[in-house]
Amino acid sequence: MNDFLQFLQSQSGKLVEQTLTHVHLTLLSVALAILAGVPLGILIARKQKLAGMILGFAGILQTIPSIALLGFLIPLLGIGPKPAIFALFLYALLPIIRNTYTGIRGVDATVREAAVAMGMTHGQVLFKAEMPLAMPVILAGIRTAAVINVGVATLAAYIAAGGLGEFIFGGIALNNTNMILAGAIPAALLAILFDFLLSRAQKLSMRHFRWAGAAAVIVFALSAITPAAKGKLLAGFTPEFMGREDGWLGLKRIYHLRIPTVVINDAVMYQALHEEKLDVVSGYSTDGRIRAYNLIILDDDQHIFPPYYAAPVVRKDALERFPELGPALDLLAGRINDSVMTSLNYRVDFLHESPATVASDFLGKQGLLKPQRHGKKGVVRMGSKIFTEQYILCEMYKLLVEGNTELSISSKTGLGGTKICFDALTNDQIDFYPEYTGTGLLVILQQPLTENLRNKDSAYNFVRDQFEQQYGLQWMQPIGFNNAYALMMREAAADQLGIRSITSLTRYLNTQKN
Amino acid sequence: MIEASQLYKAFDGRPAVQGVSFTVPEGGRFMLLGTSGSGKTTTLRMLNRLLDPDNGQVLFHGKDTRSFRPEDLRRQMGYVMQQYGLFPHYTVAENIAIVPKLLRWDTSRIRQRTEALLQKLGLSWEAHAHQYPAQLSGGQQQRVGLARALAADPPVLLMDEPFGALDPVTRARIRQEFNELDEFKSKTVVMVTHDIRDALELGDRIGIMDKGRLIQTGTPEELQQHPANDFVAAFLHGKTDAP
Ligand SMILES: Nc1ncnc2c1ncn2[C@@H]1O[C@H](COP(=O)(O)OP(=O)(O)OP(=O)(O)O)[C@@H](O)[C@H]1O
Ligand SMILES: [Mg+2]
Repeated sequence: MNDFLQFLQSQSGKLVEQTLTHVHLTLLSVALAILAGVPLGILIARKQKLAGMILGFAGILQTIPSIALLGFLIPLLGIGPKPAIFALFLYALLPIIRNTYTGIRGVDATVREAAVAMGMTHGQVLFKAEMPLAMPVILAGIRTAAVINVGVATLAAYIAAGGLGEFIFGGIALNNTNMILAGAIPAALLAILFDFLLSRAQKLSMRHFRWAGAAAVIVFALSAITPAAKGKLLAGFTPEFMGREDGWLGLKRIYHLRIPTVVINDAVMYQALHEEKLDVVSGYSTDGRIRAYNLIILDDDQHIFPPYYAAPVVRKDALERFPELGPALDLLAGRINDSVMTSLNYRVDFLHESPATVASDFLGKQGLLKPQRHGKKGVVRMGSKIFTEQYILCEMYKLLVEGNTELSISSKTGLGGTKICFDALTNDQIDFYPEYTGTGLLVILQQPLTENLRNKDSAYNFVRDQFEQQYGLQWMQPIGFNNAYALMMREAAADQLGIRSITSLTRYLNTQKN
Repeated sequence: MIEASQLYKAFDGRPAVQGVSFTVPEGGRFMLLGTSGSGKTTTLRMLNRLLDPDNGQVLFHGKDTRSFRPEDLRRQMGYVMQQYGLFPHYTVAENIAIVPKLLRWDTSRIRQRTEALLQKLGLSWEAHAHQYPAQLSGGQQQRVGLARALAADPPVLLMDEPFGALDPVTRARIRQEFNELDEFKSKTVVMVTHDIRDALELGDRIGIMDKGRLIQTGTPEELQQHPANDFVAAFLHGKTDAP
């Protein structure tokens, strides 16, 4: 608790900024959805034939996964608040259109006929009879949309639009509960606040709406003022990278790098770099997109990025129960180097081959592929984080274990980030997953980086010993490649600016400012 | 003042009203009397263009109603609905003020008019003006419906079963009060009812409708003394209708 308050205090500036951005994203998108959705709802209440089509379309928009939607929007709207607000706007449309439609259709036909019979024009019937009577239902739709959007707006952190998602996703990635709570609690409070305010609005009569409307316009105008500072080059970093000593913090401290940054999800980060919306991103050195997008990795000449050698981390009790498991997992040890891993990733991400195909191809070429034995001796539960490399490794382990032992594998792939995988492992939900030495060191052990630990072998030995002592977990032999953090740029841009290393990037930026 | 000629209206190919013609002179009180489903409401709705006839026409002051802007036409014809049709989100006073407001009367004139009407209809400003329709009894709502139709003092009053939802005792009382109202006496009235007593007490001419047609038109005495056929005779003696 004290920890948490201390965290809030130390991060209060960021917290206020993120909360304001969050409110801004939510309000602006809901306001736009009202402006578009209410007239559309009125239109389809008049023209029944359009109703099915428009409601169906808005419904389909609702089902597009948000990260996919954001991905589609980058080529059109770039990154930052624009695509975020647009995506949120699309998600808010359905409840608003549907409730406007239902509300207006639900107005008593007798009342509508009375309005017409008294000589009201179409507009007067709408504004004096139908709208006020439908208003509670319309407001309920707006309320739903606002509450949904407070939640969905956390995803704005995926595309450099800020908001409380920065803390939430950063905290999940960094295994920092205080950081998660610093984002999640204000987000929940915002949802409750919006819900409460709109529930009050539902009880107001029509004439109060003029005041409510005026207040909304003012809030809207205020919140529309967003800081838009942009330097020469723009960097996009993942929430995790932003909070790490072997990330943005180290870049600032050791390289004295000064560059405007935005927070972005790694699923869209490379694309944004490729689309020239960003100039520098924090990537992983074996990512297939490095090859696909012609990116180069800036040389880490001051060595702030620790080694990230991958190896399976296994529960001790599983190794004891199934003595043949360890040797089967170690069959991959030393087999994959950086460039091999990059091209395996490339085959899945860009040639759209399945991780299973790529895995069995590779094992075949290495002479490691054996017929599956369909053994019945026991089930080993395997986990993975959600990215391509882990999927491929897991497919390989499945083939190796099921081909070399009488064990079978049950996959629990797609366990979000480090924290989720590690918690699943210690809580006996899975038996092993592939982890990286650097992550073990910094995220799980929360070990400050010493010079010694930047060495590949000493880092591995350190995490192996500590995991065994503290958690009773076994690190198997490293697979060979080093999927370290890396700063990367478009090769063409880096060539043009003469940037090869992080030091030369810092130098370039310093000359630009003066 | 109102002249309907050869009105024809069909819904989904089935005629609801056919060959209906009648004339209501200024100050006349025309009662449309008939069984349920005989086309009375449909006929009435064609007078203020809530519906346009498929065939035939309606003249108002000798001019085809289609030459008027529908809103202007309707503001000259107060309309009382069987189900009251009061705005549930408006107070009694606001409901009564609807048409005067559409006609841009000033506030004090509206206030005076509303107060006077409430009083004439046995309600009071203090007790009822700020109540919402849901807080009123059926009889009170019906009075507010009448007040609303009368508010802007339109020359014509169209009424669709104005006492339809009331119990027989209240019905007789309101009918009598209404008949004695000088507001009512100066109007040209077309009223739909299926209750023969309404028609005899309030009407100066009665049209009997059956299956979409106007069977016979005449004064109450003419109809009673010379019914055109057995249906009219039976109807006037209250045999075909349960009030
Ligand atoms: N909007 C409409 N759509 C389809 N059919 C309709 C419509 N309005 C009326 N009708 C039909 O036209 C016929 C006449 O209806 P109308 O409402 O005029 O009868 P009515 O004499 O007023 O009856 P009641 O005494 O029950 O009110 C009925 O068969 C009715 O079903
Ligand atoms: Mg009727």
